[in-house]
Amino acid sequence: MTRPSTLTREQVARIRAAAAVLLPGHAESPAADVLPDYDELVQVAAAAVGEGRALPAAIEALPDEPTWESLSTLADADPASFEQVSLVAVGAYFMSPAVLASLGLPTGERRPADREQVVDELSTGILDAVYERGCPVRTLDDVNGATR
Amino acid sequence: MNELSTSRLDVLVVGAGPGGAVASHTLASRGFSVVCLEQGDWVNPGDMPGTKPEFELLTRGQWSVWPNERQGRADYPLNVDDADADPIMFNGVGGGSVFYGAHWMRLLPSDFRVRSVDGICDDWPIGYEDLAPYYDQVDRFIGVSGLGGDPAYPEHDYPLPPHPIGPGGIQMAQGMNKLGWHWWPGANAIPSTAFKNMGQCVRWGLCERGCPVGAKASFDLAYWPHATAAGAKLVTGARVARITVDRQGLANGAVWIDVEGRERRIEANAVVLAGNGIGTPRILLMSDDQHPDGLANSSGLVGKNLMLHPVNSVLGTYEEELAAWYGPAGQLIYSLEFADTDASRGFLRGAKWALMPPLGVLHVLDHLQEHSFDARWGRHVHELASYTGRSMIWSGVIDDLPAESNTVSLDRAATDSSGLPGAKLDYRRDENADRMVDFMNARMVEAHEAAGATRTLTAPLTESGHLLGTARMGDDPATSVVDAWGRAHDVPNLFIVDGSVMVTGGSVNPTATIAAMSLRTATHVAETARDQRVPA
Ligand SMILES: Cc1cc2nc3c(=O)[nH]c(=O)nc-3n(C[C@H](O)[C@H](O)[C@H](O)COP(=O)(O)OP(=O)(O)OC[C@H]3O[C@@H](n4cnc5c(N)ncnc54)[C@H](O)[C@@H]3O)c2cc1C
Repeated sequence: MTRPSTLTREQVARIRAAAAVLLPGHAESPAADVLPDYDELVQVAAAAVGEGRALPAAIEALPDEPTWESLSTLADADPASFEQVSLVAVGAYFMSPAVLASLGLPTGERRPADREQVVDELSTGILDAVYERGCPVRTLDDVNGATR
Repeated sequence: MNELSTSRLDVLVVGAGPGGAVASHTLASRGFSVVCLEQGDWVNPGDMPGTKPEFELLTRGQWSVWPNERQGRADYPLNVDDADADPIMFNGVGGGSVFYGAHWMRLLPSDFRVRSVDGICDDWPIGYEDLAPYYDQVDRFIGVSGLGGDPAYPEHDYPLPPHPIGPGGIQMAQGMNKLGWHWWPGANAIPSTAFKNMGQCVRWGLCERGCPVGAKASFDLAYWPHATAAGAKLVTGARVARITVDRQGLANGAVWIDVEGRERRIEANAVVLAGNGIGTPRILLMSDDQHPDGLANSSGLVGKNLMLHPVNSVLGTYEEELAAWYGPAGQLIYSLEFADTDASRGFLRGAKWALMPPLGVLHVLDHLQEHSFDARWGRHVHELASYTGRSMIWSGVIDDLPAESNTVSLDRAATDSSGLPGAKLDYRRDENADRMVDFMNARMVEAHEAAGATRTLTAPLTESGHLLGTARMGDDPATSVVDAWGRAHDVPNLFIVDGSVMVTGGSVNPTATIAAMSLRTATHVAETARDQRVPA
């Protein structure tokens, strides 16, 4: 994993507060700010996108107590800062194994195909219609005819 | 390798992507002394971002496909202030193939004959039949996986069996059958079974950001080990500043800059350029010692006719479980239904479509980027994200036609890490391309709907990494830069083996064609070496 960034606790807290608005939770998915490992994930996410100078400045641009309205205003007024912070906020959230599990998404496994799978898929006659329709483009003969 | 011999080489190759790898291997295997200079480095598959939880974020930073975003030592600045596109590429051993999706497509016969069949642009001086044996040879060498017998093509087969098309591919194939539209199991330069030094694909599904287990025929794996075993020498961190020419007008080597910033010189009897459709004209334009307008440029066409294959795409979400985390990505299936001209559609030429699984949750969420704040955040993020495993993306390779006003020139205001000028792109999509994009987007929505999608989201156009047309091939030195063998009209021992030489871009991904043409050119160089004029 990428070495975590060196955002201060306050900077991480500001991102978490914005994430609570942007990612409030839904159906099986928890809200960003209640994920136990969210702060650590934010540090990794920040390092992965590259902290540079832009990210601290973008965090600074966040409202102190973000609401739907104030973040919407920021997104309009300073889209670059908003995109930067929201990428870290969302990226951190969707790195969480709990969130990925809630979406039914596996994490990091090798899954080589069984050799029979493609045979089974294609032996159902699914390609028959394609063969029947034939060539959808001009054939080599058509092209050679037009060239002569 | 560290030390270069000071004696003159048979062949200097510039650029270690697919074009340079194939040329280096072909010539070294035939006993020629070959050195390839590559500005970038080797990439260890284990360093690729795909296995890390934060991989999607890494691909937006240091592992970005955009050189301007990555800003690595090997990248040169691309000024896109006057361009409708911001091209992607990778500068290192394997070139763009390190990142490529490995969709392995041959041009269609009509792609070589656009003037004859459609009355626009120019025909290539070679045709499908000229390249077919070289396509076959490269396919066998790198282990392409696919199913022969596609009625859209002249008969040919693949050395490895196709990959499964998966639940998403099946669902879409059924939709395409309902519509009566062509589709075919994907042809991918990704081994479906272990092949030479490459393992069987393990379906991480992230091919387009570099395979983390080395199971993709990127040319650092599929070609370079064989090229070096055959005796080719590959020097990394070696940036070519200019090709040098003797008094007879023959190329006699290059000046290059090493990682310490030292200027070095290498001598060769012949030079093969494989820097891609932006890098190669950049080198030719920088080679201005005796040619103020750039080397091999008596036609004035070096850097002109840039084609970039804009990519349109439409995401569809489904209620059925599609297990969309399975690779390869790679193309599960492709369609050539709209790849050729049908004038009733309101534009000429067409686009090949590829069906791909999304690369991850953030990739799916990118489809909300153009939405208003209220329609993008809160429950909208969660809802769309919940479809990640149940979504598929159609994307189209838009055949943007050549226009002399679309150019690569030098940007002296921005320099790379060696102090050499960057590249400036002037590129505007024309009306034909715009109409094609609208048409393809609408048909892709139809295809998703026929397959049962509950929602479709059309993405803004993006880049393809297909860098083409800027040193076009032709019989007439007044209207082309190289001849039918890739030999510069003006400099008889200078050859070009990348997408620059393509006269038209075709409606499919170009790397199979670049590799086949490189093999054809390099074979010709070897076979005609005895008659080749070389510097005194
Ligand atoms: C994300 C992505 C996905 C893609 N997917 C597909 C796909 O599915 N199918 C397909 O067919 N194609 C695909 N492509 C395109 C494919 O990568 C290119 O067509 C292919 O790599 C071109 O090969 P090339 O050798 O001509 O150029 P490149 O691969 O670009 O190699 C050129 C090399 O030259 C080097 N170079 C340039 N200038 C200099 C210099 N001055 N000195 C020294 N070295 C120099 C560069 O560093 C680079 O390594 C994709 C590209 C990208 C980026």
